[in-house]
Amino acid sequence: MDLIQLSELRKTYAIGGVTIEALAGVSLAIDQREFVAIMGPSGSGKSTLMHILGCLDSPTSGRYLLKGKDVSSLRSDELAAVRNRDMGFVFQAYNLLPQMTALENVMLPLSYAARSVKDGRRRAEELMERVGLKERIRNRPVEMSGGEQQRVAIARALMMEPSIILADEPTGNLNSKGAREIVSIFKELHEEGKTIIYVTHDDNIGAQAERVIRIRDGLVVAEEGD
Amino acid sequence: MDLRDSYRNATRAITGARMRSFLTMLGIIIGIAAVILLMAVGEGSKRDILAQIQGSGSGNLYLTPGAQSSILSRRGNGGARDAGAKITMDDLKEIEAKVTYPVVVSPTNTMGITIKRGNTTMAGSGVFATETYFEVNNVTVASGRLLVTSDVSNRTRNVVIGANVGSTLFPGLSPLGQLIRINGMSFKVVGVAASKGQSFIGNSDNAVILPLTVGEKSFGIPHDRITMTTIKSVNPDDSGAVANQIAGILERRHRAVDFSILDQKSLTTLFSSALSIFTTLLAAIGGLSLLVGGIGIMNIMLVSVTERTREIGIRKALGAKERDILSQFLIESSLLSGAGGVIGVVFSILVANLLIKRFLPTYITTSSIFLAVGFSIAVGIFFGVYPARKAARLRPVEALRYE
Repeated sequence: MDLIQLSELRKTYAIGGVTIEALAGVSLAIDQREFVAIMGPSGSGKSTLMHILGCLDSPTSGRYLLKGKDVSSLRSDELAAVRNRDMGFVFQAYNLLPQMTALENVMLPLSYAARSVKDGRRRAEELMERVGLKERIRNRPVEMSGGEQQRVAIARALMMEPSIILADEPTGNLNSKGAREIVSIFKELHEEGKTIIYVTHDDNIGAQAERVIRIRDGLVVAEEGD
Repeated sequence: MDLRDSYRNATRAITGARMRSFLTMLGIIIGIAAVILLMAVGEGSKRDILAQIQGSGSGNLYLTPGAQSSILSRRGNGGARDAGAKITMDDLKEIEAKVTYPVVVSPTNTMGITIKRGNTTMAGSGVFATETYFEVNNVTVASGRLLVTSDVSNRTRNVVIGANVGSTLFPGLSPLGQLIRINGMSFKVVGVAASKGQSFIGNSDNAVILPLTVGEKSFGIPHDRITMTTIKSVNPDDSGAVANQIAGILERRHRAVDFSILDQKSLTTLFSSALSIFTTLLAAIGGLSLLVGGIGIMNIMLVSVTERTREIGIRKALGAKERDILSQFLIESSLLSGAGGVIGVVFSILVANLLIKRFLPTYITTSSIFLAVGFSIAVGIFFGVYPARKAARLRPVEALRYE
């Protein structure tokens, strides 16, 4: 069974009386343990696709099956539960909460978990060690480099042991060294069995994935894979 | 999200913007302080007045014309009353003759007067009384003499002045034997009363005590109508029986119950209920400023929601439900207003004890403190709901996109 199955997914926005079709009927399937890059020029609809995949947004029409369950018409609180349980987000701008320490940021998803998680603190510390920031757990985001912040964000994404890691331009704000580090962490996670989906417009980063889905004008125009 | 996390988040948000949080709290602090202080002044005055009634002599009965239901709307000024409802000197003579317990009867009429000496003028109250006034009301003279029977029967223009009248009109001088003008007429000061302070019938230190008979001759007080008669039982335990006897005597004479007899207990009840209304009114005025403080909280919470749109988006992406965001902002606003309330309580206790107590009687009740803190938290929740709902309903995609 596919982890993710999209059929005829459409998303339209009405902006100032003009209807914009961000997704014009996307159908695709992503299996467990895949490493997928979604690529396309800006305005192609790749971010919209990313948001719908991450249950941050709902499609206007079409069907989204996640682990065989239809999530396209869930209520906002049910979507929140899906995001907490099944999704780990990594954003371009890191999106750590500035008032919290790195460790508190990693532990934040625990606050919204349906069930209490045992040893959450120890797990967060292990994740910080895992991304190579064991010494930085008490630091706040402003005291860290961009690459370090993004590694904290990855640790946070892993906190609830989600089945999918979704990354939106994760290297967009980083220098090439930082970008390489992030990509190598993704590769390790993939080898450990995580499903990784990231959006990028950088061909070098996209080429690191096993499969590339190209989007243009709200449609899948090409698929390349190993 | 557990409560300790929420609390820590809220305190972090509040201390993260200290100046703003303080200014927001200031609205609540002032509101709460206004409520507590106004209630304290109301309660203090109430206790003060009730204490004066208690201290006015437990054996005293107060006889006034008119049925009791209208007692609060009538304050004695010696003017005309409902036709028929009057107490005359003959009534009082009958009471003195027929009551079988030892009593002292003190008839009085009271009116506002202007007192003048040279270029100094002051307002005061004129108490037209007989020689028994002093015994019944425990008034003594600091210098000179009291009014005597002959002052009343001969309609002399002799007066006893209150302590404050003496010190105002005769600064550093002895008023004894001096002339003062009351409503344009000349009177001779024969005595100065010892200071008694504020009493429930007015400030007796601002009073001038004149012979009862002068009232109707020179001040236009209707003939043979006594506004207020105080009857003191020599043995205070008799007062209940005395009240019954007086009621019987007057009812027979008037063939109607067109009079009221109040004892200390009924006076206490009467004043106590009237003064409670007064205190409530004061609290309501203070409540208005609390309302303004609440609007301040709503304003700043709206700003805070806008500023933290991105944070809300991040939290939602990590799985926060609408109620998580709602409670986060509600806890923050109620913490802000609750802390403001506590500071307001401390502030008002300090101000009441260090400052206001010098001018006005104040009394802070425990219930007013709990009421104020409870109300301030309620204000925080009430005015926090709208901003918090606004935050909770933000769509995660839009919130994340917000710069």
